[in-house]
Order: sequence, then structure tokens, then C-alpha cells
Amino acid sequence: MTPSHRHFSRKLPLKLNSVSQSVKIDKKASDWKYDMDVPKILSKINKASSPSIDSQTNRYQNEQVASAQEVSDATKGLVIVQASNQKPAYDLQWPPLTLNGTIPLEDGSDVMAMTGLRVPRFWEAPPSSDVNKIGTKVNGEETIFLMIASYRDFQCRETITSAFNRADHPERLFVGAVDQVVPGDIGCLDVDPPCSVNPDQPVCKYRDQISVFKMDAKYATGTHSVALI
Amino acid sequence: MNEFAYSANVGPVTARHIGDRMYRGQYFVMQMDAHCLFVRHWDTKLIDQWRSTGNEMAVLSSYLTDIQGSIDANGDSTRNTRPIMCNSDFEGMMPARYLRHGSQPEEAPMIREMPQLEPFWAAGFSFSRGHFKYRVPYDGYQPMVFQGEEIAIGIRGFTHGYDFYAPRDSVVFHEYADNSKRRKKIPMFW
Repeated sequence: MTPSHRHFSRKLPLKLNSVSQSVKIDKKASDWKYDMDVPKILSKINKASSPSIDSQTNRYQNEQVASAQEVSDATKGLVIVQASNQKPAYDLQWPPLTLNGTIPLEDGSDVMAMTGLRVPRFWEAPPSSDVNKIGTKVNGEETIFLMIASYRDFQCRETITSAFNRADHPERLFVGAVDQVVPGDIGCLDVDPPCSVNPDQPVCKYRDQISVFKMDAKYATGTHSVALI
Repeated sequence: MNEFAYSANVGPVTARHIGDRMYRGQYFVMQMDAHCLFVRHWDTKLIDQWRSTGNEMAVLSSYLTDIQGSIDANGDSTRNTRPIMCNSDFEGMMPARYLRHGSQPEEAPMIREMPQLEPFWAAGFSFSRGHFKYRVPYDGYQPMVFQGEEIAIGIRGFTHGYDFYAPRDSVVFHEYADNSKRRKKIPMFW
């Protein structure tokens, strides 16, 4: 153990150290085997979480998993762009996801490698524009895109509320949240009381400026189990 | 600072890649964890700090200070200290050594006129022009990365010409599980 290793071990949580040990970082280079058998990994992820989808609450109505063929292509390392109704990437407008969490049909979508998730396309600057000059304004104020990846976090809604409540210019703020949840979790939009009861709370008042991609938390945990192989 | 180690090192790369895909040409981009609280006027204060660098390629980035006792009843910060990303070292044994961020020092900054340059980028808080996310989005081909997303983005950003700065003042605070009764029960990755 090197001095620097000791130094960090003292400050990091015990659980982290135990994980470091479990991945056996003292192996020789030739001992390293990276399990890149993607179909096997996918089946593990799916197997681990198949009972978690709740048809009653319809929690994953926006989780747009691709077709078997697309997943098969994706596992070859490709990200597929849908050919139909494809608008130029510089024409993609806010919101990236509709209010019910689906990707706008006219935007097209990509399928991510490995996970097979259907996801919004990347926006691009117009071809002749100067990338250093990109940036929209609202009422003369520069806009801010706030990206939040939430993992089963009941505080996501409070974080978004705080961002709008305490800003001088809430109209400049655009939130893109990735909500990794399982049924029963409090998601980024699950305010209490609901918007139908109190529409003046920030998450409801600025709902058009909040875009949420809800996905099954299995993709995060699946990643973890794979990482420790 | 401990809780950050969970979220930074394990699984969020895929989710943050999807989050980056939601960018639609906004002027500034910002990212942080889902359990943070802001101070009043945070947008104006943050943009003022960013402008004071005089650097279009400035990225304000740091781990965040704990929320406990950091925001008063009016919604203003009680802190005059700020973390700066400079405590990092290689961990592990050859040939699998990797650069790892430790707990970062937090003191009142010596330089008051502007944010201070630092060598590393932190996923826990990042504020920059939109073109930073445009040029350096999260990698969608690394769903199995266990360590090093922050290092990868730091290097990619630097080689694109971006400079990292510790914010002069904190405008947002993070609720660390170690000091938060209500976060102790949050599900973690292990």
C-alpha cells in the first residue's frame, strides 16, 4: 500500500474500500478480463428487474425500449438514428420530451448502444454558425440549461423547486432531468400536493421549462453489477 | 464529501449522457446532483462570477459544500469558504492505477476578485457556456465505467481549450447523507 493510497483510504467511506478490494486491482495486466458479452449483460439487466414494472401505476410509460433488431444493432456498438421524419438537428426545439415524457415524434430519436434505450437526439448548432456564439436568451437574459441525473432521489423535486424559487429570473431556467426510479419512488415531478391542487408551486408553474426523461433504475444498478464482474 | 463518491463513481454516466441530449442551445449549462438547494439571486451571482473570469472558456466546477448551516432564513449563504478541486492522486496498484479525487480542501479563497483556476473538473457542480456541453458531452459508450468519468471529461474539456475554476462563492449547497437524517435511508448502489 502506497502512502497516497493510505491517505485517501482514511477519508473515503469504508464501503468504497471494500469494493476496491472486491475488484482485485492488484491483478497482473494479463489477468484482466473485461466481460464484453453484451447480450449476456443485457439479459442480466433485464432479468434483474423484470418484475419491477407496475402496469397499475404505469410508471414506465415513457421508457421507450427499442425493438429486438435495434437492440441487436446497438450491441454492435452503433447508435441508430431513425430515418423517418428526420428534421435537421439544429431545428430541434425545447422541450426535448413532451409533458407526458415521450420524445416528440417529429424530433426523431436515437437508440443508445448497450442499453437499447430510445433517447432524444443531440441538438446541433446550425451549419454555418459560430459554436462559440451559440446561446439563447429570454427577455434579454441568457438562458440556463440545468441538467440533473437523479437516482431514486425524493429530493429531486425540492432541488428543482429551489432552483426556480431562488432565481432572479426563473423564466431563463430550463431543467433537463433524468429520473431513474422504480415503482413507488417519489420522482422529480411528484410534488405534494399535486399540481391539480396547487398549480402555483414552481414545478407546476414552470412545468413547460422542465423536461423529464424517466427511466428504470435497473440501468444504473445493472451497470454496477456489470462493473464488478 | 463522502456521499458524492457514490454517485460520482458508480452509475450515472448513462443517465447524464441522456441528460446532455436534452440540451437545446441554451446560453449556459449547469449540472449538479438531485439533492441541492440554492441561495437567493443564484443565477445573477453565478453569471457575475463567470463573467469576472473574462474567459469565454471558463468552467466553474467543484464539489459542493454541505447544506447543513449554510443557508440562512432569508435564503442567503452563511459561508465565505469554498471547496477547490486540487486534492487528487493515483490510487490502486500497477497496472490498474487510476486518478481519483479525494475530499477537497475548503477555505476562504485568497483571490477574491474572481474564481480561482484549478486543475480538475467535478461532476457535482459545473457551470459554463453552452458550448462546453456541446463539445464535451457525457460519453454514451461507457455504461460500464466504474471510475474516472470526471477525469475523462476534465481531460476532454481541457484539450478543447476549457479552463476550470473553483467558484469564488457558493450559490448552491449539497445535502450529504453523512450529515442528513432524511438521506440516510436513500437507496445506494451497494
